[in-house]
Amino acid sequence: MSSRIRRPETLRLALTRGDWIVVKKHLTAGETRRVFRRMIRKGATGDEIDSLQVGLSKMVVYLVDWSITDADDQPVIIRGQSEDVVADVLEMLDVDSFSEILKAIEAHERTMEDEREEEKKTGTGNSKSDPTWPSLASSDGATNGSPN
Amino acid sequence: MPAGITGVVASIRWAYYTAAAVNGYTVTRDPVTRAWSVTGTIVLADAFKLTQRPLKFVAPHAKGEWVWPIETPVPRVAGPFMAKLGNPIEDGTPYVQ
Repeated sequence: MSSRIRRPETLRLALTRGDWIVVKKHLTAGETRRVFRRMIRKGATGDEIDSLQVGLSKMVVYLVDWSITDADDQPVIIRGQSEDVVADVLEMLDVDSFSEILKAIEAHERTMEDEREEEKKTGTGNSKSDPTWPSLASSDGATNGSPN
Repeated sequence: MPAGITGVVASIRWAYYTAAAVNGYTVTRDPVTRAWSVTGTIVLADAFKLTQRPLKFVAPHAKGEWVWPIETPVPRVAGPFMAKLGNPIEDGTPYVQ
């Protein structure tokens, strides 16, 4: 059997001016679905694509960390922030920086798609996760099944 | 870093994911064994992520985060918990490769 849950891994991508971003290496099914959900809005005739969210939704889900600073040269913290907060911060970038980060993420996404296709061909699958913690059922007093 | 830390908000992370939100925590260091431990209350738990490892206990402070590896299992549901911790990881980007 192969693992179908990947270990969360990140990659650091270099930007111009010495900046960098850290992105998720692969998205999970849930994250992929969130990329699409963020692009959908309620329209007069039902759900429709929100063009303002195209690209942004992908950036929000992929981004883990970066070196970007504000106008006072203070770090702009996105690590550990909610996706909504990251979206707000991304909206404040200048147009060229926004575009550069989006292109870097899209290029990364294509590279990872190629890597996954290669895995399918070679049957190597993905790396196994670390072992999980043992069940707490035996240590915290919980019972399992009939006492008799 | 102080030997004992009490705070309101912290989290348990698996890589870049938040496995649990912790409310009201105390990190202490045994004066004899020098071992770190944490007690607190899990208020939001992701049952799957809490079974994965390595897990880290992350306590934010004014200039960043204190991060410790968690060395014992933690409950997968909301409620009080206690866990043994390893030595603190230097602040920075602990899940960046």
